Amino acid sequence: MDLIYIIREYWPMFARGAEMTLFLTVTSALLAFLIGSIVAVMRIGPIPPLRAAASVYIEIMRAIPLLALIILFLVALPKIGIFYSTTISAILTLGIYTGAYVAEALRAGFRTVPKGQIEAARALGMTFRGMFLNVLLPQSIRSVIPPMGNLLISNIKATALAGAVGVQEIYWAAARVNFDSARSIAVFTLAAICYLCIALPTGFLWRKLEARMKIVR
Amino acid sequence: MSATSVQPLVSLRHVDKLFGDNQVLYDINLDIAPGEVVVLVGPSGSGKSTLCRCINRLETINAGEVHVNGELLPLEGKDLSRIRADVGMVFQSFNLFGHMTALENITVAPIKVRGTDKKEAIELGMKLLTRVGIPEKAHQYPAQLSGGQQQRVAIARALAMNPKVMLFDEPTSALDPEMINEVLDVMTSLAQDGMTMLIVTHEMGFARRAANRVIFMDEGRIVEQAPPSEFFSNPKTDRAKDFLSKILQH
Ligand SMILES: Nc1ncnc2c1ncn2[C@@H]1O[C@H](COP(=O)(O)OP(=O)(O)OP(=O)(O)O)[C@@H](O)[C@H]1O
Ligand SMILES: [Mg+2]
Repeated sequence: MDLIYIIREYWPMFARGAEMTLFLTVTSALLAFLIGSIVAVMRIGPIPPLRAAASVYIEIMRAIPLLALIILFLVALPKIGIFYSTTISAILTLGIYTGAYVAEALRAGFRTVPKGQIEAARALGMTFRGMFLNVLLPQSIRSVIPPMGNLLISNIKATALAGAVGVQEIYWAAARVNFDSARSIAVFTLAAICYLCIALPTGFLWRKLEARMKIVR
Repeated sequence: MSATSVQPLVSLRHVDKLFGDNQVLYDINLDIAPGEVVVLVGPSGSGKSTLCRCINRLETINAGEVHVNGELLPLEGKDLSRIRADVGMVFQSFNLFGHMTALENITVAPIKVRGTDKKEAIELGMKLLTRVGIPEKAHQYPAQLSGGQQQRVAIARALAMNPKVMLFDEPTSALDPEMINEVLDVMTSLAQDGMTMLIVTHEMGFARRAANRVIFMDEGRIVEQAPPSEFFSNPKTDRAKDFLSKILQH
């Protein structure tokens, strides 16, 4: 069978690809979370120019296809004198892109906290920061966990686009092996299985986390 | 201006407030003296809540000045937070922090805003819970409390900041009838202790008993103000008469 042949002959390439996919996923997810948190706070914060900047950023990121953004970063950054490896460039792009969605998910979570509580906090003399840390954040964490899980899974899949610009992850490995072996169905089935092996356990662990957060007050 | 030389705790001068094109407060002038209990009444939509909310700048005003304790309300920022800390506010919908116990609701602002020592804040919190009659509920979450209990916690939460003045916006309107009195009793005792209060309420019995002055608002204007005995037995304006005849029918 082709699939078994491909696994036997080419598994090291797929293993290295999976390793790179994992690396891209984790680093870009962390970056996206960092960026998303900052942008979400800017978006709801008390400073109008920052609020405007945050919403412009979110709208732009949501309107551009990720692939276009990845290519743009790769070709445009060197033009303004910034040189990164394709890998770092891909991580940056993924982080900046997914960050906008993280910001939106966080904002939706903040909105689940009744407005009256925010007014009560302000009326007690809390600053925006005090209100945010003591009232808004602790109560919205639970409701942002499920959408964050969805974003993490999307992010795993989005890393495939980095392969298109030469980052040696699963999709890139598959394309290479396909060229070599000309057994497309088996090759891309194996690639799909590799993504499943990363995404399914992630989804499973995330649901565990969700269940745990439900119990904790 | 009043004839006495006491500086008012709250003072509004020529305050206008608009929501978009919709003007909801017109040239509001109001002084509240230390220790005074003022009850604000008027038909729905007359601007009572908005007036209250302008005093701690939950709403920004479009014209005029608001002074609290002699200080002009600043724009956003640390100074505004400092003044807000001196103005207690109790809302119709309680607005307790859902993830905190009753006691935590009361102690969070003293600890985080005033920098009170945690142990001291807890002592004060328990004292206040006792004062509002529910020390045994200290470790319950808002969802586990009745409306009347939640509102009493909310009053204790405001008192924990040791405010100079308290604003109440229809504190009993969301309560079942049998719980209204437990909240009004707490407010009456506050009034007797000399707390300065501005209270929006439809509880006319309470207004008669506890208020020094009743203010009647209609369509964004203060139409009439008088001591309760005078206002309820002998309203001067037709609009106040009309309002009272409607509300006293119930
Ligand atoms: N956030 C807002 N945005 C726009 N309009 C508002 C807002 N808040 C209040 N208004 C309007 O301002 C007017 C006064 O409202 P306000 O809530 O102060 O009245 P009220 O006297 O407290 O009425 P009620 O007895 O029903 O509580 C109303 O016409 C209302 O529709
Ligand atoms: Mg109102």
